[in-house]
Amino acid sequence: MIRSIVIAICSVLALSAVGQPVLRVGAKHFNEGYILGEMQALLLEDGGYNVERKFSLGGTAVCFEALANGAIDIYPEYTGTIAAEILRGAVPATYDSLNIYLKAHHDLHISRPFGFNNTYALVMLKTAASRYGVHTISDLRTQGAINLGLSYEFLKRQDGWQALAPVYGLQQRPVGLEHGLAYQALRDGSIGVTDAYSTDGEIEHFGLVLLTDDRSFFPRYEAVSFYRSGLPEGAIRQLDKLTGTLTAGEMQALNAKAIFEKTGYGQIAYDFLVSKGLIQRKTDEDRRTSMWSDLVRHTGEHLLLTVIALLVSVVVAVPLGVVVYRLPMASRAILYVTGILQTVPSIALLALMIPLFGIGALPAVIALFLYALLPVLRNTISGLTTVDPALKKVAIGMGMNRWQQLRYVEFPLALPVLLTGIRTAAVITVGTATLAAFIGAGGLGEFIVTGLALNDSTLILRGAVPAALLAIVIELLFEWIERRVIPAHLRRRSL
Amino acid sequence: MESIPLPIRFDHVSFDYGQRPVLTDISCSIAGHSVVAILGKSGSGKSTLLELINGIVRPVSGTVHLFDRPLDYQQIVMLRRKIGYGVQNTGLFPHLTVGENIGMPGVISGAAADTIHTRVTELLELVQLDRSHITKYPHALSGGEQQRVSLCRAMFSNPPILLMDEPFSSLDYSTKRHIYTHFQALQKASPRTVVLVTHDWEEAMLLADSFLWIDQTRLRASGDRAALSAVKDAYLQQL
Repeated sequence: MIRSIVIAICSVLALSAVGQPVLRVGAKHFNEGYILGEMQALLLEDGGYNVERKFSLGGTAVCFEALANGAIDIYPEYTGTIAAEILRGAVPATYDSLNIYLKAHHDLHISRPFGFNNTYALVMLKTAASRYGVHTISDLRTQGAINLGLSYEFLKRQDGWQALAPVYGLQQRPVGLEHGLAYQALRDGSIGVTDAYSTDGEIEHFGLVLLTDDRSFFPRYEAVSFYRSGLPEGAIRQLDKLTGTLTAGEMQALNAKAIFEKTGYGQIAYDFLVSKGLIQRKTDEDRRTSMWSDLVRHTGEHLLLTVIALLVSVVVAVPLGVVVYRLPMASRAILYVTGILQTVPSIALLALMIPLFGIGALPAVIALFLYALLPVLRNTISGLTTVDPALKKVAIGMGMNRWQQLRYVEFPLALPVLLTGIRTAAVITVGTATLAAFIGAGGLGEFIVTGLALNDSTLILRGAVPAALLAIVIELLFEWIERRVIPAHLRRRSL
Repeated sequence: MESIPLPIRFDHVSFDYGQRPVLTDISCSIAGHSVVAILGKSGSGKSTLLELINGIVRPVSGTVHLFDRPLDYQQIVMLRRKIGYGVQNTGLFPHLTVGENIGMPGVISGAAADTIHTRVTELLELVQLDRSHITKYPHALSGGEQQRVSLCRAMFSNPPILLMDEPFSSLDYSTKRHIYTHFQALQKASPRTVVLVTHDWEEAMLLADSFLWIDQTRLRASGDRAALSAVKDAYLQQL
């Protein structure tokens, strides 16, 4: 088992070593991020490069971290975001000053803008805006009754609410909510105002109006390709083809297509690039990526993440449990530490891995491993400590050495409890692994994260159902293992 | 006087758990090829006296001698393999079959599988248990049968010394009588030194050649069956 995994890893490494360098394209997990990332990927593929898509990355911080660490090579970003969020206002948000600063301090580059300005905006329903007579952000000052529901990112950003409120003298206390849910909340009246991107596809569809930024608070957010030094010249030329090709209206239309026509973002990007003559039309067979092959690939990734994390946690936690079970002080300390690890929210733990291990499968496996550690360790220790002391005494009195006591008596008697721990860990790992998509590790979470961004429940289910099925399969597998290795009269009654 | 080495001798042995004394200044010896009963009420320290012999506990002061040599705790694991050991409620491993339980002393000393199997069937015959029990788990057997299996395991290596800690206390009266006959037959066939911890005066009277009476951490009386008979009233009174 372990040998075949090692062989698989080695062959993947060997393949990637001989082949052409793979360009890794990242994207933030929201609609426009996917579409623009897909455009970059398609342009590079059209230029003959091998592309690996690392979409669904958690947010600006994750993308930038990944780019700076070399975990990805390119991703679509906005000038205003780079200036305010990444460089913390060190330079103005213009092409020249950003490029000079990025080259000098981070060895990174941006392309010329794609054309549109996707600025932040506060939006309202047209009907509500005219009822209250609100047309500008300043008008909100006198409208204390209007609820503000803002995305978590906007609430936190340097160029977000915290800076906006004093500039406009707004006293309202906004509530935080998921951006994907904000439009629905606007429509049913539970909030009156939300933040939006000016190219959001929903604006036209829901009959929203952008409030005028009458104090010019928001910087310009021009979409650009953000990439590492050392990208091949040809690749940069391909990316530059996007320069000046997209108007705000076009972008809004593309976003709306993804949301309301449920067109795949790959398809949207492809159709757009072909219509502009930027890439060659491909034959149908070339681009027909079946849903099933995606499903199989993501399930495979998911299983691999789960199995490796689980194996490592068992390999580490079981011997560790055996060692510390004889030392009550040590076992208490270790259980505390692993217990604390368990209380770190999984998404936070994944995010913490990025500065240490970058993005991709490695940090995901490490985070999942840390999660699986506690149940395995705790059950190893409690399994061993609950072995009948009389039987331990018999084992000693019979002349067993330490190892024999463990092998013939303590370990087999602890096995039912230990297996329950591994089983718990396995189910937790399968569930938590769906979050690994946020840091570019793939897996079934890829569907869920994309589905969340597109507010597409079919896509969410495409990830959630197989993940749930996997959890059930794992339960059944462990039941089978228990039946094989534990005599009937010693089996624990499981739920 | 014969110079046969005494299998077990306690020389001013004391043991305590910190503040609480368990055994105080015990000096006595146990003769070879005989059954000695260690009598006493529960908590008197009689089990501890037994556990001093195979080194599960070590004396706080004084020395335990085996065959006239002070117990060597460096070699204690090897030494234990020459001492049979049985405990209350059989102490059979629930995850192992009857055959695996009986053969375990052979497994840990590295005996060959067929040697073990031969010895297991031989022992089962000795205590009149059917061979079909070999592949069963202990829980499928009656209390008396389990006790006989436990006896087989303790005797697997044909040990010169057999330590038994209240082995029969959980059995009902008729089962006990049955086991006693097995025990006596075994002892008659190949006599060995048996140390039997029990609180039951009648059991001691029936099975033992001599006795040690531990009362409030000290050795209160010892001697042969006649002496045991003489202390009957005093013993039963303090129970």
